[in-house]
Amino acid sequence: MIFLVAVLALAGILLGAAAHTTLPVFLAAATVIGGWLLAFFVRERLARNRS
Amino acid sequence: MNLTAPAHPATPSARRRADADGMAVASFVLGLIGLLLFNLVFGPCAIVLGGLALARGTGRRGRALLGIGLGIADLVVLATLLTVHQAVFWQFGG
Repeated sequence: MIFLVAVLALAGILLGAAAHTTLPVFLAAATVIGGWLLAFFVRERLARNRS
Repeated sequence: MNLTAPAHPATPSARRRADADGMAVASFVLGLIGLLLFNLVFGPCAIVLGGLALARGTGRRGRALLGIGLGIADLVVLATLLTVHQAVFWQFGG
């Protein structure tokens, strides 16, 4: 029983912000971050193909 | 990371630069993802990788500095959420 409590607490800390925000906030943040990463990698690929 | 480092570095110093560039990009990516997931893990990783990249003379200083900043932001976000919620437990769907 205490094991379950410990696991939940650990997951709450380890998993980070995703476990502490509401779903719409999480989805909005995920979209922004995903979009930023996508843009970054697309620009990297374009720069690579040019040089 | 081949996507973000020169394809075939010739001299050892160029190879070092390529490694440092890869570390700078890794620091940025980890810092960015760490804003949302695994804050406690990716935050320090991003800070360390960014610091290493700067120490090894990366050409992508801005990216490394951004990675360090994001790493610090990861930890700040986690600390803020924990203190605001007064709990470390999972809240399904808020």
